[in-house]
Amino acid sequence: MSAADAPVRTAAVREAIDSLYGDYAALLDDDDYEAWLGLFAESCSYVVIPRDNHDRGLPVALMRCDNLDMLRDRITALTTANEYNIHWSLRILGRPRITAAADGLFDVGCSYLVMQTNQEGQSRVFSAGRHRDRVSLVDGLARFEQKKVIVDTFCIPTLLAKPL
Amino acid sequence: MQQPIHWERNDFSRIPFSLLHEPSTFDAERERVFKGPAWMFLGLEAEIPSNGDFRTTVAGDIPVVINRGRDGQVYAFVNRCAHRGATVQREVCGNAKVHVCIYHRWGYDHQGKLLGVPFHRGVDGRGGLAEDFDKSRHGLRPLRVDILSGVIFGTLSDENEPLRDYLGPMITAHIERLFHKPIRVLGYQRQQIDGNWKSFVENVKDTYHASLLHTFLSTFGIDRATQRGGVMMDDRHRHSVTYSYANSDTDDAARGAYTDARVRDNSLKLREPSMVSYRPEWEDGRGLVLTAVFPTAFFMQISNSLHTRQVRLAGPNRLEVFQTIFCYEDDPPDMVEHRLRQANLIGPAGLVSMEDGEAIEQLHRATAPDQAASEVIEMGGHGEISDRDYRVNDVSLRGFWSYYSELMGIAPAGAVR
Repeated sequence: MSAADAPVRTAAVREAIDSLYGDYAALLDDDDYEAWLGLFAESCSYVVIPRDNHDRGLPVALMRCDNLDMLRDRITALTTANEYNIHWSLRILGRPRITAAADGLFDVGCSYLVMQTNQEGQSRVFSAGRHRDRVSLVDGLARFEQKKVIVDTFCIPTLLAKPL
Repeated sequence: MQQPIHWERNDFSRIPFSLLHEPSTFDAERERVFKGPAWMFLGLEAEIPSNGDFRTTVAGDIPVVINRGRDGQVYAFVNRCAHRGATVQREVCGNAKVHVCIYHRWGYDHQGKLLGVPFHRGVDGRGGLAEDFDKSRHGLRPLRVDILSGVIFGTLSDENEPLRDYLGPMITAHIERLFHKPIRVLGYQRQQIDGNWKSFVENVKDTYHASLLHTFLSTFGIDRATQRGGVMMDDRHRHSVTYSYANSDTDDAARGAYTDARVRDNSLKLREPSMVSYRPEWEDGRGLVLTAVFPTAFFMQISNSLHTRQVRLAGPNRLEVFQTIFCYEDDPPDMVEHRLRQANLIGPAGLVSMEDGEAIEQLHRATAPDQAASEVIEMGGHGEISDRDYRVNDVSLRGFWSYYSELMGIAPAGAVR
């Protein structure tokens, strides 16, 4: 392990990044988008991309927000305009794995599974895939600087309205 | 056997729900539509640029491979081994000198001709194929292929009309408009919907629903029924082009028209309006052109988002939408970036398209228990089917059902077309 990786091993970093991902999952499960948006840095990009495109180097995404304003627009559309299948979502994230670090920035990956439950109480696996992110740590507070969600379940069942 | 169809009217303004659900209807569609006289969209030449390149696709639900032979020509064949019927080419895409079935390693060339059979003479003179086995009679079933501006079509029929006659001059011109210079594929979006394939086809052709279901459009004032536009069809009404002109109405006109439409016309503003802005790139001023080719192909310009849609069938109760997004080869980098941003508008997570999946699943669920009832297609009036130069109509859906019924042999007596 190189010296640059050393901060990864500190308990404080681990704790801050675990909290970020815990908040990410819980706030989305609660449809609390305003608080959820607070987890992103202003310049953060948010991209949801099908795995086959990603693996073949093709850039087309399902959601592509180049900055936080575009992500805010996506949330405004979701909450004021778009119609979608009425459901609750619930996600399980794997433990975040910190793969690299430099200058207070960390590359972080984790797996996810999102279930959808409809109004009749029927649940289905809606999406499986991985997060591949860059996270900053300033004064002990972790924020997303880049978020890429790589979707294994890229033949999307019904539709994709809420962020993954 | 097919149940007799009860048509409430003979002008295709009432369509019995049974056509969306009956397993026997689906079986008949395979034979009479997809193996019948239809030319089906299979893919784009840009996806298989080099000799040996291949891509798997479908004709309805029939698995097909398109590929480029050593001679540079495009060939297509049914992806099912002539021996025991296993899938031959299992990869989605790639490059192959030969296509080999993994089961018993029968190998085929780019035209689907059988090249080799392991142990065809047996071992030590024992076993193997009979003396009279003729390899030339055991190839993969070929499709006839024709290409229009780099768009690959195929047919399983030996006796249908040539592709350009099937499309007609108006549809041909619109495909040539979209593919007027070389393209580059930027990626794919896929979606599965628990509904009937024909409901999805109707949905794309239906201009009436667009600004009502897709409330993003009216909420942010992007595309509204008050814009100038309409629908055009070929002579037999089987295909259609729906179109509208960019920036051809005013906010006030729209507010008046939508007062009783019960959609949320808040005229909200986007923080990043550049994402939805139309950069003019055609002299005709059309910001939206949707070309529908019977049965399951669409060639789409939505603002500056360019894509094809292929409907893939999986029985009467499930469909897949396979969307291929592209740019032009000579697009400057910022135009490619703009098109990639506009991919936010389309597909399963599309700001102006996600609702389609929900609408189709809801109608499929609700119509299943009452299949003698009919849907009503009467926006733009009933009677004779003809072009319209206004947007609030669904007349091209009746054109689709007219040709569909003809192919299926179920048209009502004295049909009005």
